[in-house]
Amino acid sequence: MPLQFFSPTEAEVLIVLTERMVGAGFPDVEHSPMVTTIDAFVAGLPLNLRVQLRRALRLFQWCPILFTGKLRPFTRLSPHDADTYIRSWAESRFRLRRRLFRGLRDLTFLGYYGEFATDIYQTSTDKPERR
Amino acid sequence: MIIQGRTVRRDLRETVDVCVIGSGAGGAVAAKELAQAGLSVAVLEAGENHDSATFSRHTPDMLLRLFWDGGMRTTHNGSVLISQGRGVGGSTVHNLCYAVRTPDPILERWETEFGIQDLLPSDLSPSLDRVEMTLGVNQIQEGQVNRLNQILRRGCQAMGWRGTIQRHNRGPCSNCSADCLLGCPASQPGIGKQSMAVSYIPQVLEAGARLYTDCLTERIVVENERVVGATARFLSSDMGRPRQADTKTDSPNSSGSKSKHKVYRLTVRSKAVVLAAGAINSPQLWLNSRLPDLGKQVGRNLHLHPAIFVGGIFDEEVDAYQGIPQSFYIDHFLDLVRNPDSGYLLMPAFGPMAMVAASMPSFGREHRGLMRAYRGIAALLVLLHDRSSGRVMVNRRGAPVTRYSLNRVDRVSFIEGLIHGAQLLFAAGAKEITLPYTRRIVIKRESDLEVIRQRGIVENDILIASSHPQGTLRMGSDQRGSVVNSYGEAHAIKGLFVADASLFPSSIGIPPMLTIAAMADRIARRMAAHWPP
Repeated sequence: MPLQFFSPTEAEVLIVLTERMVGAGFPDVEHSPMVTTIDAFVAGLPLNLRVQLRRALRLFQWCPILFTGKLRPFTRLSPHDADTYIRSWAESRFRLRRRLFRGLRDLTFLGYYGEFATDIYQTSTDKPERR
Repeated sequence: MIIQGRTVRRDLRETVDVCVIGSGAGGAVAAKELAQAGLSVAVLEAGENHDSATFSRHTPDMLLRLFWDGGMRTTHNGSVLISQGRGVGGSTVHNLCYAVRTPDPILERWETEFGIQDLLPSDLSPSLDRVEMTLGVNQIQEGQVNRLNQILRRGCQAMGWRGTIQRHNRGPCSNCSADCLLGCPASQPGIGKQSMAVSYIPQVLEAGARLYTDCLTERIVVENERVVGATARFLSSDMGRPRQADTKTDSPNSSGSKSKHKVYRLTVRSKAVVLAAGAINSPQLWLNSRLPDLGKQVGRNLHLHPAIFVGGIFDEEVDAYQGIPQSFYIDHFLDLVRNPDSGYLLMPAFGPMAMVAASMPSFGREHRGLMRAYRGIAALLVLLHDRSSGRVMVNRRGAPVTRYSLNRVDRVSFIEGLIHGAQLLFAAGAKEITLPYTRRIVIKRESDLEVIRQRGIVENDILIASSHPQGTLRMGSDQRGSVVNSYGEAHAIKGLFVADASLFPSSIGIPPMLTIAAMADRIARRMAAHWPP
């Protein structure tokens, strides 16, 4: 399904971000409708929120050089470095970075967990069934 | 009659006695009382008219359909998430049906401190009775108390605290779950959630009122200090953006080329306007309309009832998503007789999976480990009767900007509430407590609770949520300290009434739906009795 709001590059950031936020080992993040779910959700938000989210994603993608010294964008970091980088946002002394972490984290959770029925763990703890 | 804005293809004009802005707990009640009194009424609702049978369990879709800003509305610095309903029925479509009468000490305080007239408990009681009757409020029965609420009651009893099973505006419902927060698919008159959309609105329409949906009010129009109506624009089904007409063009856009977008408008002429768009959007509309503000109080005195999630992980299967999500609550720490302006409730909390995920700390493997315990989580909210006061303003584009910070006293209360919530969960058998900090703190025994004091309540470090904004157009007898009088009418504008939680002179400390509805009932009946304004 074509994306309504995010560019392919932004979608790639979202996929990597979701893998790290949700936790490695969850099934099928890359092939899940998660990105189209988030994209459709964001496309329905008011303009100011859409603009803020796009800026946040870009900032997150290009700031490893500032906060980790790595000369790579977020999507090219190793899993370990990516987690370290995300943690630096979560535990930052700067309110804005903590806010951005929370916003992106919860957006990926909305895309990922919002795809599943509330009772996914009733039948299995590892392989959620899509609704 | 319902006019769906998304289907309108021309500008419309309407002349009525009363224009009601908003169709939630305040607007629906006011519209019904005024229409049944024989006045012609137009109701303007920014959101859609929901068919409850179309409510799904897909969280992102439902957030977009039922909430302002898709549920992403926050204070200016992102520290408090503010959930406000959008659509016919307002927040009563997604709330969890606590139907709590206004506490007597709150009404008595409003009389003594703010000079409110004719609003003592005996004055408001007939309105509360009428609202309860129309909403079908009834006591939750023992058999309806789900496992989550049973566990919290067990903990409450073990601690020796006070808690009670509450009353709800809820009819028989066979398939209740945590998805109640995303609207009740079974909701219809007498069955399931008795929101305003299925209780009051049908009576509004039956009494001859016209309900405009997808219709965002932009201005309240005042001439010679008297309200004369309102103007609005019709929206498409997608959040907040003007509906796109299929052919005609209008004014040039910013790049100079002709836009293919056409915005259709509604102009309402009326003798009175009832503003009931909620405690964020009502002051926003007031400010955007550049209405008089004698005491510079418009938008001020905002209280949020901020709440923090406390999760307990149990060895037993709680399956908290099953059944009525909230029925019991603990009011042991809300003693309004001794202390009418502070305290907190401990309320059951659960929700769809994405919402529970957002309420868990950390990320990655650690977060996944917590989500694996999903079936064994019982959680509560510490809901603060806040003294902190914020403000709603508008930015250059006219959008609301909400400023709010917790004061020191409220931060201390929150810490105490989190500790009490954790103690209750431990007493009920929890093996671990989780709090929605960005970084997880491990609490496995009561002696670990001191870490909450050390961590404290720091903005953007812990998730704080609000569903009850109030107080931004407050009532009072003093024109310098309030916006409207004891009967909801603006001090400075004849015929402009407020009938939502904006009215409250102070935080009320309890779920506000019934109070909002009763106040709207009282205001509308007085309007009808003293017509014209």
